[in-house]
Amino acid sequence: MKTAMKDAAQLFVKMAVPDNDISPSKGKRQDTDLVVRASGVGKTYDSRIPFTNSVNVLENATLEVNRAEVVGIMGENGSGKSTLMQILAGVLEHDAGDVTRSGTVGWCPQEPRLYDRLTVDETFELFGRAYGMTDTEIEDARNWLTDVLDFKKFHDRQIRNLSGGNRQKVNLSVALMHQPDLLLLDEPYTGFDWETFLAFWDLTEELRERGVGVAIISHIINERDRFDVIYELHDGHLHRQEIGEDDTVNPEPTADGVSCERTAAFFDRDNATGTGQRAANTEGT
Amino acid sequence: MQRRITTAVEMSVREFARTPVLIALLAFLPVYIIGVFVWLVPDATVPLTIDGTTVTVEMGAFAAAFMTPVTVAILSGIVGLFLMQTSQMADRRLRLAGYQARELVTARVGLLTAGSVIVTGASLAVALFAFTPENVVAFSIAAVLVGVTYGILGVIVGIVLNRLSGVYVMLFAPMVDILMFQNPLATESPTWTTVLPGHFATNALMDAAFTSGGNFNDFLAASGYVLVLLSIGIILFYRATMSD
Repeated sequence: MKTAMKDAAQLFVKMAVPDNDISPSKGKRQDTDLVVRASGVGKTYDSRIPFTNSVNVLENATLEVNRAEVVGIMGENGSGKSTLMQILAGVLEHDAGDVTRSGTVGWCPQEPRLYDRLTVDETFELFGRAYGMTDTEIEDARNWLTDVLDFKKFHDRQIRNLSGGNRQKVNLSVALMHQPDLLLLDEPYTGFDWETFLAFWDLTEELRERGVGVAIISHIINERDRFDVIYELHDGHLHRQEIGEDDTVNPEPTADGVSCERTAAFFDRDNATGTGQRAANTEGT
Repeated sequence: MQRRITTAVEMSVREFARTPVLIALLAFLPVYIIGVFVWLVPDATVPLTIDGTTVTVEMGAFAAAFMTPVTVAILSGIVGLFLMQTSQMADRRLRLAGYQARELVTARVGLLTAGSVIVTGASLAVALFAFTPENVVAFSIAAVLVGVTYGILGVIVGIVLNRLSGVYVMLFAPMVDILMFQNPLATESPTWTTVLPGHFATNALMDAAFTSGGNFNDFLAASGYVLVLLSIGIILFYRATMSD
């Protein structure tokens, strides 16, 4: 059933967008499909304390998310995924490059950024008001999401008294409730039970069918088939791979001239070893 | 916009109302600090110089009056600090969702004022046991001004520093500013101490307590100080929760 649904959703995407190749260099997509584009983004965390090192997190990172596209962002711990996500969301300044967005944004941060002493209902009301929603729209969104993610019975409980998984459901719901054009999810299913995990992916498919562009930071390699495109972040560089019928690895280096051997191993399911995370500068070779 | 501010204020008040331990502390600590001070001082009189006028007052009355702004400043500053520290991350998200910085700051300052009124009310209740100010209304308004001033300072410090450093600063600052430099028992305070946050409001408070009952210029300057701090707070809050 779920597979059929996914197939239907993928068919929908293929019908709507005959050519799924959206690499910046080829530029076959229409710009109107884009919900966010980051080009040449750089970010360094400087220390306020003298004589301490600054940390270079992102370097010439380029990424695009289109409507009705589910994009995965992967990378080892500390590689800068959440930094990239915050820059895409617009809550963190970047040092170089450009980020352009079209439409409304829903952002689900890794750590739930909620008011601990408000109830679930009050959280919906407050954020709904921020999004400019009417009372009816807020109520509809609350009913929809508490039903889909199965936490209706906790509606009058304060956030601080929720379990980690249920808190994460509220966190996700706040990002989704206004039905944004772009959804940025930073490890959204942390703490979810299996049923909720599946419900989350069903919901993602539903959003894809509605034309929402979704970017998800994920560590779950087995879920790669659910993505249209995967970006792997390594040594500050983003490496793009498209997921489709043919899993052939694109051996070409990215636009910044830096290839990532791990990306190749990662996508070669049978031979993937999970090792060899080396980046090689292939510029000029 | 009005609806959003109302909702933000309402939610802030609900959150505050769900911190019974904090509210109990805000009500109890003034009783403890002012009450103990009044109880400890000797039964004697002291000469005070207020706005150039020297008055002689009971030591207990002085302790009750003078410890009121100190207590209000410390507690309001801590409330402002914790208010900012606990909500800053969520505020950033709320701003991304559509709230304006000034809407959120308005809501937070509204709550701060409510906290200052609680602290001031508790402080007044204790102080009035020990003495009767020349002008109770002016004394109360001055105490609230001290509270709001240090409450906003607490918010600013909460944006800039982490919680531990912030607590130290908000304990230390009122001690230095009010307890040391605005002390009517002190002989000659340096001129620069007149620009400290507690100067005008404390002057107004001591004036209301023991002399004419209110110097309009002090109230005006203290209110101006609040507005300046509020502007700085809005700018810092805007930067801290900035979304592009």
